[in-house]
Amino acid sequence: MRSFEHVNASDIQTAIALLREPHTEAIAGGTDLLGELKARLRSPKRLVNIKTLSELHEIGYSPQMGLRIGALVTLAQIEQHPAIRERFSLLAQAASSAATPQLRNMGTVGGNLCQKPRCWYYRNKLFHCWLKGGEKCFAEDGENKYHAILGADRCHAVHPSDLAPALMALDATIRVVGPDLDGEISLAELYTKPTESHRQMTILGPGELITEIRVPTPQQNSRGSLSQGDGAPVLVLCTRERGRAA
Amino acid sequence: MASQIWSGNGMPPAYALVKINPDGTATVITGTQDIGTGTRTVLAQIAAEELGFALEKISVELGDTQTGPYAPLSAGSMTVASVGPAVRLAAHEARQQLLDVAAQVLEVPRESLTIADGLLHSSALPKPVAVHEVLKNLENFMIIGRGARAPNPEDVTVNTFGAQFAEVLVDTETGEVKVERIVAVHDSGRVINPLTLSSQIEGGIIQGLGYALFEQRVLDRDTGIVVNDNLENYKVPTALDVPEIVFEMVDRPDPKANNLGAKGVGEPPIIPTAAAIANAVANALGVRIYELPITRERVLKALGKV
Repeated sequence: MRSFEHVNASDIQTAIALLREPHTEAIAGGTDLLGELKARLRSPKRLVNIKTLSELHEIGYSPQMGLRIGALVTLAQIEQHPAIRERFSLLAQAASSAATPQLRNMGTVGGNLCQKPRCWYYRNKLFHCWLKGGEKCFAEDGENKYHAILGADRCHAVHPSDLAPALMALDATIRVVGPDLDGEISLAELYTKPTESHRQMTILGPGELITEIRVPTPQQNSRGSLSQGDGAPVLVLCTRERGRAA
Repeated sequence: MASQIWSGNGMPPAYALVKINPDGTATVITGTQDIGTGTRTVLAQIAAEELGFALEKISVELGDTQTGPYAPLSAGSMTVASVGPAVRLAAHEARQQLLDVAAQVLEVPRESLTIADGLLHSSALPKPVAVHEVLKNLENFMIIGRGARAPNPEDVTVNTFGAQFAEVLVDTETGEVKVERIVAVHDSGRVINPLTLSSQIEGGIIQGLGYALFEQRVLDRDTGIVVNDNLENYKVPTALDVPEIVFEMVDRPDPKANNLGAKGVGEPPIIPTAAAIANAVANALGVRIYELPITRERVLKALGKV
């Protein structure tokens, strides 16, 4: 790991201003970022600690408003929250299926949705793959059992979030705040296929942060189930009137 | 079900010292290690029994081959069967020295003396005398016994034996294999400590479980670079994967093996686990899988589903 400067953000606007600077990354739980720093996949000069933003640590629920989860809420808090367990059990299941208890105690929902792929070529510093700025995707003709076949273009990595499929199935939206931006989009709109000029899996640009996840109250008669195979999660959400799978 | 034969006989060279201290305690000194396998406990037991001292009076100094005597590493199912006999001989020699000096100090016939629980007994004494009562007036007199592991027998091959039985559930839709229960029966000679022995058996079975179902090195086909060189993608069993383990000890001393009749138990339980699981999977599916680990993909291929 290379050395870096660590600064605490006093409020959201300060965090955004700091994150617009080059070679700067946000750190919350750090469970994904530290792995990348140790493997030297990225070497930012400055980390902006956003855990200090106290207003992003809250969970709120009412039947009318639905569920609101601050971006800094940990996966363990989601897993254990009584209203989420009762009314959004699919989300609680997804949170509890992620990683290990230690990582769930540290990892935040915002970080989980924005994490980098676990593709073993991406994570291995011996492979300078396309997503890291290189020329080719090594998974295309390589060891690609856990990679995307359909819809993949220059990069075959799959997004590893356990929470994203559950939240999408529950019609979640996210609030995104940035230098010239404060708006709500559906979670599905967050994700994008990486392109030549934007080698990222989300549409977020410099200084843009997810601040909140909003989930409408599901219908009383809907039930969800999640099962984890060797690779990506398989998830089914059904209502009595209509069935859908995500 | 699968069975196992493995040496586990131990061998020379292995040396040990046993020092009897003026306060009635004793110290075992030998160069081997305890990497969590229970060597320290077992060597203390051997010395305590041979000396006639209580277990808590024995301390064990391991790991120093610079000033202490040489003994082998903690590996190869050989630690106890190599070092244990040397410790027993060293304790025996120390005991002889103690009896020599006690006979002189107490002025009783040497052959009348015995030692039990740190007390010297003799029909010539009005009541038993504690070892430290004899030693405390001898100032800097030292009792140090030395022991060296004797050669292995030339006329027999020393082996350990075992059998394991596996009960598995196979999901024919997903290919997932879940091991429900392993029953293990192992003969490694005399059992010196049932708890450290059963821990070794359980640990070995869990390693064998990883071999059977999870552990797989993935090489990039073009470069040969290992792409799963981490514990995220190279899976080893964790607590939630461990099945019910039923273990039956065969406590049968092997008098030809060494002066303890004890043999190694580190590797033997790893040997049959994967084969027992593979046989149980074949029994469940009616088709046999010839490669390890038995992944979901291989199960589904064997069933003709992919």
